[in-house]
Amino acid sequence: MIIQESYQKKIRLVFKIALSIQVAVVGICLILSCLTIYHSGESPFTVASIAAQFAKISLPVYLLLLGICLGAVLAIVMPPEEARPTAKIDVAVKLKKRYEKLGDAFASASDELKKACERERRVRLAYRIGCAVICVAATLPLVLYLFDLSHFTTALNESVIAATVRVIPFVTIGGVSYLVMCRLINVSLQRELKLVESMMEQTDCKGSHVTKSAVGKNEQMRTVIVRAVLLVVAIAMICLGVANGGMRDVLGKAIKICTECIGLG
Amino acid sequence: MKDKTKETKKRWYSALIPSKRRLIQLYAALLFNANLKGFGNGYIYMGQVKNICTPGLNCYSCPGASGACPLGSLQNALAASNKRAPYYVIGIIMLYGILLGRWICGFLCPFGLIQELVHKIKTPKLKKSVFTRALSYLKYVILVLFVVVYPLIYVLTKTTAMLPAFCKYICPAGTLEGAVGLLSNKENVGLLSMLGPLFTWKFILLVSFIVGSIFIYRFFCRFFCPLGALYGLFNKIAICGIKLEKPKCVDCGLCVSKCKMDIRHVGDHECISCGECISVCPTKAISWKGSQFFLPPDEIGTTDAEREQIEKRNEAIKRRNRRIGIAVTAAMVALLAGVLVYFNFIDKAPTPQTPSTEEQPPAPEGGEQPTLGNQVGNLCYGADISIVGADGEIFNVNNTRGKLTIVNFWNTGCQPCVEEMPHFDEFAKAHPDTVEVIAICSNFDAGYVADFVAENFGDYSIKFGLDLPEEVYFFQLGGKGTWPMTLVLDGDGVIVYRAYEKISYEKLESLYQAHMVSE
Repeated sequence: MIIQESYQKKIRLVFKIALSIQVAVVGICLILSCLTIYHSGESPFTVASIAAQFAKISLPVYLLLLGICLGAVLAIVMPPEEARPTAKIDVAVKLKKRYEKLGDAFASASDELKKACERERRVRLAYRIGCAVICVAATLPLVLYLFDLSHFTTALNESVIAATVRVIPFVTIGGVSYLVMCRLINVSLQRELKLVESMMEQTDCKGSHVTKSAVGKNEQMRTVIVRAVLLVVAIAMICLGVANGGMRDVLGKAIKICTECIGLG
Repeated sequence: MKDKTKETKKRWYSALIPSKRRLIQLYAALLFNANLKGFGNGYIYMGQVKNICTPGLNCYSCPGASGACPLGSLQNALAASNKRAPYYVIGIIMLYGILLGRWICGFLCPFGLIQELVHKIKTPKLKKSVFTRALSYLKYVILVLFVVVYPLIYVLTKTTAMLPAFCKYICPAGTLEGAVGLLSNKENVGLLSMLGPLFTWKFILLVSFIVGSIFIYRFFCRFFCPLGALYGLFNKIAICGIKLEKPKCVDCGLCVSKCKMDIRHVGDHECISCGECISVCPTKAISWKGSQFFLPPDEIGTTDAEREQIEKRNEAIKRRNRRIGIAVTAAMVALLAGVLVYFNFIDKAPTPQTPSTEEQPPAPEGGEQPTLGNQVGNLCYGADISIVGADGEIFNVNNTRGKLTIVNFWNTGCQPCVEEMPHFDEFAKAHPDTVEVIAICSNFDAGYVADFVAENFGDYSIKFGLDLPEEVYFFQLGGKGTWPMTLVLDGDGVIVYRAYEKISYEKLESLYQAHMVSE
């Protein structure tokens, strides 16, 4: 039985890899066909020429469809064991739980450890502020560019493409700084976790399960009030919109084929 | 042996039967695309129901679309915010957000359904990580830049440009549902002439999103969808969705592990309320908001009599739930059936009309009279078109014999239409005695059109007209529901050229040389 299961796993793995290659091939073929039609110089395009170009890639498409059907049959005949989700507790959550278990014993821990924990918290705050500063600094030149309306002439596509190309490096800087911040914060949390565990050993604290309190009535009330206010505002805005002709504008646009939306023109 | 067969049959059945969430997704996709006859006749629905935005991402240029797209409507409303504050669309989005939050993404969005279906293809899947979490913030950048900033910038530049930037440059729903849906119908063969670099770009994007969705769960939703980003802002206060009971939660992290979205905790702005985490929670801390009404209270009796009473109460609750379930299902089925019947059989939304052949203008001098019609080579139908800003003045193509007549159909919300107006004006000024140009606007509001023309084309020498009610003349001359449409008539009133796209000055000049100079 064990051998049979492992054999099944190998078949499923090979099949998955083959199918992903097929998907990639079909995707590339579709893109290349579209580019070929565009660069063919034919104007206007005809159904016959488009059909002829896509007919050339019919074999990989049929193979992919066959692969999909086989995959469905395989899933029924040789179903994989459903992977049980493994509990992966976030380091921040682990730390919070340690502090809760430590409870009042924190006061009797050594000053050195307490200062070290405080230092780690300040370090994490510094990382967050640093990431925010980098993101703001990265956004500033972009905002200045966007506010300079002379960049947005009636040559729509060119202006939008130029502005979007400018956005990419700033978004990348923001993304990288966020990832670096997450990594550094994680390292700091691990360090603090070790410190708290040392505190627990030092104070010989076994700790007991802390029951979390339910969401307080005040907080529940706040949520209900916020919901009610926003609901009233939304309904009022809809009524205002109907009165000022906004609803008619929506209809006016929706009943006409948006050639830009569908990529025509 | 019998047990094994039973087991195999059960496995087949459970593999094939769709879940309740899938059924609701399919139901919503059909409800929001109830105009099935549009797929047959190749025309989009043009009725009053499109006043209402559907909650999910569903392009209003899809032939089956029964409502407007909230994202497209928002961009257009922002692009026109110098004329009218966008209260209506913002109010609708807020209402959906507060009532449903990202439950819309998990249950009602047709494009989300498409992504989940293609994700079922048996390929290796990319699991979520800190990178995907970071990438999930990209959709907020797209929301700010493409949905808000770009449309507003063009309002500030006070040009005639109107730019639904997300729809135009990114949205795959428009390409798949709109373009593929329309172009696959032989009625819309004329639209093929409008394919160009924009369609090539959008088609490549569409293929990339679909392939990405095969390997990555909800690739578009997680990283690119600005509508999900908007609804995510309301997730915590939304009335529908998932809730976590903190006293029961032991922070085991199983819910976050099970979830395929980039959540930090259940119910945050990335949570699409699909409910997959409910089954893995060991302490039953996760449930649907409002479910306490349907669940029996957690009581254990101490005596036999108490236990019997509790059991009876629980049975009564289960019976009540079953009845409510049957009633709701019946109501939903009746609603869908009613909507399908309404859109496909009852609704009298404007559709292209078969032109009348009763009225025939006088025959041109000499030669055989060509057939009255709307195709190239036909004698063009005439209609009395009222001129904007000139009370009582009427334009009719039957009165422009001897001149090259340009009949252009446009509307105020159409960017390519507005861009080609200067070409018509330049052309008309170059040939004042031998060319007649009429730009007929399809818009409900005559006053709005008059203001728009006065503000943007005040010094133009071409005539601006208003189409007949329900755009009868536009459809009579072969309009497909896309703008602009231009017909060129020679000196005898015969249609010599038709375009469903922007027309250049050079093209107009070449037509003039071909049909007026030779004559």
